Amino acid sequence: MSDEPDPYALIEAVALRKDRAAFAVLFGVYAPKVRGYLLRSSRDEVQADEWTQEVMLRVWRRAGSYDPAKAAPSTWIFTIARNVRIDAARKVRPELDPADPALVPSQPLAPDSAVDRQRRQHRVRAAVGALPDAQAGVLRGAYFDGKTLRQIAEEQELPLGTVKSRVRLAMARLRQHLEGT
Amino acid sequence: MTPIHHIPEEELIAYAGGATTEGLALFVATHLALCPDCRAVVEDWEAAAGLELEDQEETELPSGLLDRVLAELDDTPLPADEAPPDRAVLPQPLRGYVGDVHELQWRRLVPGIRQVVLPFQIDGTPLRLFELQAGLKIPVHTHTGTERTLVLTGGFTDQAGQYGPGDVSFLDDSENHVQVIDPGEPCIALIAADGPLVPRSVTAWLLSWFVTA
Ligand SMILES: [Zn+2]
Repeated sequence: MSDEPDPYALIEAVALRKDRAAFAVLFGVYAPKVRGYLLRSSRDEVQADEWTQEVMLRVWRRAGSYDPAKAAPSTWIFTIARNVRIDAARKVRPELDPADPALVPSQPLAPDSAVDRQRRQHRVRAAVGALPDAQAGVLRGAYFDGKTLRQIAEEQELPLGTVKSRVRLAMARLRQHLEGT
Repeated sequence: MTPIHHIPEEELIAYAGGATTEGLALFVATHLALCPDCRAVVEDWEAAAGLELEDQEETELPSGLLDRVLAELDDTPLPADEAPPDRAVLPQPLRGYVGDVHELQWRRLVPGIRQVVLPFQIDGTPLRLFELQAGLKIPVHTHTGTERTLVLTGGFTDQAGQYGPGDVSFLDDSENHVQVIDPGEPCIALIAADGPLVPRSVTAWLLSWFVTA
């Protein structure tokens, strides 16, 4: 047995028992990472602290709706942090409603394919890591930092065309990499 | 039946990261509601971002942040989400903006074509909901930019193939094309197209209508 806290168990304790001690452990693990993530889009530390507070508050309030079969704890917390970042910019993110009768449902996952799924997600991340730095940087700017290609171009002082062609190259390589494994 | 014509992965990545404008996110998310395949792609990129979060260099938290959050924790449950209706034709999130099919505030453009204008643009092109009469033939037209279409009901056929509910079509200015709305029910589609484009095709269509009528 390792002493690493198990985030699945912690979220469950918050969801079922409103367990404040479990929440404090979860906070200790994720709040510093969430703050690091938020500081990537705003250099303002006071603001990053406020947003981190908001993210962790939503973790507390929404723990009951966390579905471990659908997403890893880190994925779930990333989506909360992303949405706080979007709200803070006074923007709206239209999202689908999983309970909507007009939604076309996914095929239920076989027990093995949940593991396949996790493996595939690690592969996506590994494939990004295997890209040349310039391409990985542009892609990470999009899927992690949530920056538009125009913002990435401005920050890196590159022509927009260069950033676009890096994305194209990165996607072609990723496809090769993911299909070849 | 799930869609066969999808949204390019670059746009799914931008949606996963939260980089899309409200108009593009509305278009993407409405396709996602109809497309389990693209939903899985978005979930994979969100998971990759989660792994990135795990590896985030930890910053030192200001002292007292945990106490401040603990002081705010409340035990009142979140208000329950409004229960979705039993049946719906148009999916969320689109339905939240325009209502379901029987509530749409259609304006007739020309015989056979009605529209609802949405307050958004995608890459500078206005986003609209169109209803195109079954069997309608929209003659050759070109575009001054990219036209994107998401079919919601019915379908159409052009030289690239057949498009049914959930399918996305992209056409750029190099393509001359004819669209034929499939017989049966009218085709309702979410379309982002240049200002000049639709009037041009509609004008052409109107002209052919007068000629053949
Ligand atoms: Zn799709």
